[in-house]
Amino acid sequence: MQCYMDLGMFEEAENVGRQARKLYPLSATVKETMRRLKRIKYDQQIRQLRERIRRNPNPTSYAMLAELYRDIGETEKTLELCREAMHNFPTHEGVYLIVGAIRYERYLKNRHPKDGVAAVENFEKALKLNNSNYKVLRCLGQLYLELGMPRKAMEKLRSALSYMPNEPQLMEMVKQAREMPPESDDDVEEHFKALYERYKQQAESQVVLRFGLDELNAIFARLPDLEGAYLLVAMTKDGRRLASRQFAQGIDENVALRCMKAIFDVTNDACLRMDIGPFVRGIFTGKTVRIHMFRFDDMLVGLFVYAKVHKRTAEQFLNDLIEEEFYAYRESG
Amino acid sequence: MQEILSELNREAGVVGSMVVTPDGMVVAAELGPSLDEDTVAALAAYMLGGVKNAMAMTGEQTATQFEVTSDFGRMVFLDVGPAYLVVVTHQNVNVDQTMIAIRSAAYKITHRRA
Repeated sequence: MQCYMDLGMFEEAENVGRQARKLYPLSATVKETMRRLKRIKYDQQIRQLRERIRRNPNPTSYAMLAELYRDIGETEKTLELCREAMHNFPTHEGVYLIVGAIRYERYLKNRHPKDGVAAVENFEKALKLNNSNYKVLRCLGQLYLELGMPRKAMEKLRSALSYMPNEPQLMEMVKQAREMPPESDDDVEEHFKALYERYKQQAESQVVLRFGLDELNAIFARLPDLEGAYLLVAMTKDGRRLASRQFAQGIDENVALRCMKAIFDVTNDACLRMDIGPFVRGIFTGKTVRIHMFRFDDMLVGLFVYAKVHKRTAEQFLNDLIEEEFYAYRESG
Repeated sequence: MQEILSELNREAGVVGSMVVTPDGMVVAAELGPSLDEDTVAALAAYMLGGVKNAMAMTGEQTATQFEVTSDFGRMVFLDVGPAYLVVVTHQNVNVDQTMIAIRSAAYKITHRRA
């Protein structure tokens, strides 16, 4: 990717980046390089649109700029821009569609009710302004169906059918909606909450791990020593030990497991309630101990180090573990 | 203090900042339109309490600084004496650059108090 970028071959770099992102979704290097590439690619367009908004603000320029930021992966910036556009041009559907799509993507990723409700609200607003958007009608129909709200689903699916009368998947959804008992109430948020509880229970019983315990212990065993580190430990999100590597005495493994679980529970819950998505990574520094933690699929990995160890050294150690061991293992496996 | 927070918020990627005591009392806040002061204060206190208790299990008496990255954002907590500076940023910010600004703000807050 970097070579193509250096040569100015941005299309080729982007193709490689897309492949890399599919293979290594947690790689910080891939993510950052891709973001840099898109920043370079869109730099001129962003400047032009910013200037256009400054001189002659209009909803189309806002929507185009928001789409660019969304593509770069700067979700918060996109949402900020959309909020500004909604305030200035409340009757333009474009930005509601963008916000709806962002929240829908988030919803598909973490199934959190807040994202689902926001997706529905924004899509509904967009439809109120323009009732002929097939994609939104279909998406809402599917969402309502998933929520167990066939009456609302039918409304949207029927409208969608009028644009694509012979679409087989659409017809199948209509059939499903007909066969379902009608919903007792229209409270979308409650339906999302109930669905979330079901997903949570299902997720708890199906822990996704890429490695067997032996493989994981072997990976940990062959890691280089890290000066100032006490312990590296991997566990499931519900606190079951998977593997560990003791570098030096100082932190008991069982204590470390309990500590990591407590940190994960509280931070993950708070992040979800703050509406910034689930926990991905964290660094927790005390006077004598620092804990570096990250989530990899359904696994949590924690590195306990002496607080004076350079933060970047410990973070690099974990980045190498992800990119050179976890992903490399998946490739060979 | 409000000025320090406003200045910090001008850093690229910073969405909002506040100074909050461990029991959730807001000392000063400069939050963007997407953040509700009461919610952030309550959740910051909840996080602070939870992380401190968890770290106490390892014998650690205090949490001087912590950073949490989630799918769509980042939160940084820095000890500024009896309270914490809490900063909410975009998830893609340049961490090193932002940390310099956050530390500088924390220093100013601590020394203004003194």
